[in-house]
Amino acid sequence: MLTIKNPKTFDWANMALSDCCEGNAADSYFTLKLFNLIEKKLDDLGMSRLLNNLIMPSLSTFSEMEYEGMRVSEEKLESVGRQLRVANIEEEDNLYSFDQVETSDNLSSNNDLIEVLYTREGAFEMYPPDRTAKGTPSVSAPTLKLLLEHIEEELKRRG
Amino acid sequence: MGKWDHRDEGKRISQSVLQGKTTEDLRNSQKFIKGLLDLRKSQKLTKTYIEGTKKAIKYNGVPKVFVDYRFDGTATGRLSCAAYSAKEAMGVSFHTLPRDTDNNIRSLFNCPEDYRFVTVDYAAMELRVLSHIAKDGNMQTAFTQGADLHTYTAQMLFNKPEISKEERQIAKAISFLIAYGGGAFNLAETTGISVGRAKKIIGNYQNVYPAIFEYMEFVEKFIKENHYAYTIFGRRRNLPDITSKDFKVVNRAARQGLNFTIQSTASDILLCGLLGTHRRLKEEGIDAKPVATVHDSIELICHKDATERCLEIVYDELVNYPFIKEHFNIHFDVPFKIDAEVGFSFGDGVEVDFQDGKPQNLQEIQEYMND
Repeated sequence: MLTIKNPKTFDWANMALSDCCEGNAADSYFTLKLFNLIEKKLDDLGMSRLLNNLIMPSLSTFSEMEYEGMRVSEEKLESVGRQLRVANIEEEDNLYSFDQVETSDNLSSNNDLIEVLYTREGAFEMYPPDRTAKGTPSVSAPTLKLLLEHIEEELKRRG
Repeated sequence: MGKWDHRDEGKRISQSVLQGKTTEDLRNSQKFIKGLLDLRKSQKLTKTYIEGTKKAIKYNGVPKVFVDYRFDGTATGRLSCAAYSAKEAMGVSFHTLPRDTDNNIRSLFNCPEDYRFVTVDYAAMELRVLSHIAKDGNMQTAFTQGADLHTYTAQMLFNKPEISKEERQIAKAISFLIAYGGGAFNLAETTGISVGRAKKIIGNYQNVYPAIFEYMEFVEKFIKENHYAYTIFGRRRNLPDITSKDFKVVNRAARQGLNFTIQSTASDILLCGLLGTHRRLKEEGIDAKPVATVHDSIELICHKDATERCLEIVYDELVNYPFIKEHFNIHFDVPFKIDAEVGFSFGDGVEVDFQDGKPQNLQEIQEYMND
């Protein structure tokens, strides 16, 4: 919409119909102006057929799909949500059962995980794999996966 | 310190530290890291899909999520799809929905009572496209004969009729890697074989599918001369980086151009299939409509009594592609294949057995829906 200054904070749901119509009319007007400017270029580039036979006809299909939306089973949403919450709790309990983890450790905190995995004496003591731009060792998923891969290789080597 | 291994975003792991650990310590660390990764994955599912969907439903006031399909969301010309966001990011993007069956997130999206949820996927579409545009006779033969391409490729690569699971896996990996500009190092990393063996296999692959390599050379040359790539549908992608003085940037642009000619074509084929299906369903007054498209699949809901006709139309439009023939006059050298499922939701269903474009197992589908 051309008339909306900050679309992210604008209250779209309560927008007045007249404003909506005006905005859409302005959108259409300027889109047409732009189209007139680029129409010849599209022809020159051999892209008119793509535009006329595929892009333009697909607009109505997509607008219908967007308008229709996807139905959500609220019952399933609750049950899968519950299943995931239970899995999260069980997994967290399992992680806190390791001797290397203290009850005061917050497993969602990168700083605490860095201590548990790398730096704290008596914990896993894997030592920092490397320092990130911020100066702290990384506990990002790619690093952990790589660490896991190396552990598995070492275990395999030992038979 | 011991040997450092440079991979994955430049992170380095000292292997000598691991060698100094007891086996028990290593097993403990292994269990902990696996558990941590599982926890993060499951927390992400909860936050993104469960909480995101709840938020969207609350905002929409109906148990539905609405998405925004974007033609300009990717440089490759593929469609992107974003959660419809008014005040804040909410809902889900269907393009990132996980396929896990343990916590079946896809099963959240269902159809109304007396309706069926139909999911249709193209099978190996990008490699079919590659074999068509590269005019590779061997690869086209595999598709025309209805062979499993990766088994066929493995048989040709290793020159023997009986193929192990690992050999098929290597053949599959190499087909995708070559199509997207990967080399021996990537193949070695993906399949766990040595770089030397990977080089040898790629050499064999070149003998099996020579036209693929000729096509790759042609695309690279074209991009270098014209600074863009184009597809058989007339879509083009400008690649100004091809003139860079940095060879890595030039290689990336060439790879992007090659990817574009394949991915974008596959995406447009699906789009034509979607439009053709939508048009036919309307023309025939069938109580069915497409509700989403995700990557190389189309999702529809149809009334239970219209299931058979809906499947016949989808099959015809996707496999025989009348829309493409009519509007673009393109006839592909290889047949298209689809996999379809009918069920209650996006995440469940019975696979449809098509014979000559007609579903054969409607009874099985009926029984599944009655259970």
